[in-house]
Amino acid sequence: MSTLAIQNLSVTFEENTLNEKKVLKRVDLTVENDDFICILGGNGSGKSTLLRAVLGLVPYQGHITLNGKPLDKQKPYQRARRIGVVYQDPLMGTSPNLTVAENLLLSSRAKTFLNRKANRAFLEKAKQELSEYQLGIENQLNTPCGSLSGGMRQVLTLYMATTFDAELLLLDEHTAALDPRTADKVMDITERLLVKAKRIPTLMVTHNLDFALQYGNRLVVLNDGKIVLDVRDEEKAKLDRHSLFEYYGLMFSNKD
Amino acid sequence: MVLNAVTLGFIFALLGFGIFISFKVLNFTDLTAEASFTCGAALSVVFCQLGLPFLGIIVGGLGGAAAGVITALLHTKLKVDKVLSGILTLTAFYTVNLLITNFKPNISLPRGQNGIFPADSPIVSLVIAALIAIVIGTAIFLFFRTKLGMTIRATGDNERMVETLGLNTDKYKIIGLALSNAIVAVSGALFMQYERYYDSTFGTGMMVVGVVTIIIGGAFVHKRHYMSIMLLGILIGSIAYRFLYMGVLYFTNQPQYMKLISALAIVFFILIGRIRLPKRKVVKEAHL
Repeated sequence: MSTLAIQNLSVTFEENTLNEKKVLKRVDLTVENDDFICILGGNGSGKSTLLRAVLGLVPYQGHITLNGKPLDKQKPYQRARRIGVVYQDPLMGTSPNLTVAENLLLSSRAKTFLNRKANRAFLEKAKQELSEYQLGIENQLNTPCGSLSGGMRQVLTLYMATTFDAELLLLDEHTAALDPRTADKVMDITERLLVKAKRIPTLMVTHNLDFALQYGNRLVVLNDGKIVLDVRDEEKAKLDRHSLFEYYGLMFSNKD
Repeated sequence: MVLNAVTLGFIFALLGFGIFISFKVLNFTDLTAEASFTCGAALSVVFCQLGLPFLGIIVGGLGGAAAGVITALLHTKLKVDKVLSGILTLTAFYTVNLLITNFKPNISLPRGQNGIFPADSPIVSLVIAALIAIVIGTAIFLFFRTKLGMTIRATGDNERMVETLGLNTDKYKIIGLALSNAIVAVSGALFMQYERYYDSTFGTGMMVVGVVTIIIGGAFVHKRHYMSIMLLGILIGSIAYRFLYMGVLYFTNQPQYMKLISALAIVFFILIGRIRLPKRKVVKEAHL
């Protein structure tokens, strides 16, 4: 059963000008239930653009369907009701002048407009779940998010993106702005949150080859707007850094 | 004279609250306020003439809200620049406000016809103005703690994040600007009833008054990211500004000095704010 179906997706920047650049060229990708796909590729290969197209943030040609429902005509905020997303920049995912508790409450899709009891229950649950990761966020519920560290913000954003009944999770280099130790920890928490969220189908763009090899059941390499490698399970397990580098090499030699 | 300054301080605190909502909370440089201030006053004077001053304030507020909605629609649906949307509404409402008063540029309430402020008792007027300002200030504070209010704050704070949560930011901008301009218009309606006089140029320069109020208020208080404290600061700032105004009138007898002094006051209080407070964290809008 497929969750996300991307058919014939093309994205062109600055169309009909001298600077016209085809970023994605007729890409087809079918995401199955339980898929955790790592997407690799050099800068400018179209990885992030792929995610942005799914979110409706760039105009595209082709069709994107999520669980049988076409997304093409939906606005970004309509798509976001069904898709969780974490960006690279830790500033993107939370509202810096709102407290942690307020950010968490905003992420609950339930219509608890003035229902204090429901809000308190939601916060209590969030506090308990966040305390499992031993980052100390649970003790800072009344601090503005602007004063949290980047790692904490990313974990908070991840938590917010996975706790509603998302049908798809998009991670756009969400560990790239963190120091290596924090990145490892955030990746570990990502995996635990995904287990908890019953394995929402996930697309993770990354530059970190180790993460790409270690996590996920499927690996996709993009080069120059096309998918050049798409492997899963055993085949993925056979890959190592060296063989992946060959794909990177291929990318550079292919560039005109 | 002191009572007068304090009463006006409370009335103009509402203007400060309104501009605070659009400029600071929603991060929207909304110039509509000058139009909605006059619009509130115009509707208020018309209803005063009918003998319905209280209704005049409410309808005035609704008129201001309409102006805010128009600006928000121009910005969100037609993608007009924030400042330009405000200027367009401002210009259009110059005519609309004249239409409301049937092209009379100024109207005085005749003797015996009062707004909600009694003509002969400045203390009662002060109490009424203070009550209204405190009630509306508290209401704003409570509103921004509800989920709707939090979403409006988040929209001003990090628009992309609100969109990521599956919420339509256009909606929250419209609600926020409607609220902001409604409060500004109520301020205009109250000002007109207190002065017992309407002039179609009331709104001119109100933007600066509102911003001065916020900046003076900000300089008076610490922990400016707490909304309750900031609202209190605006109240104090507004009264302080009226005392400044009173002082200028007392020493120079020439109200036109006030524009220069307002500008200088802004610079002065910005400096004070810099000295007393550590720099506020500036969070730039991040791009993908």
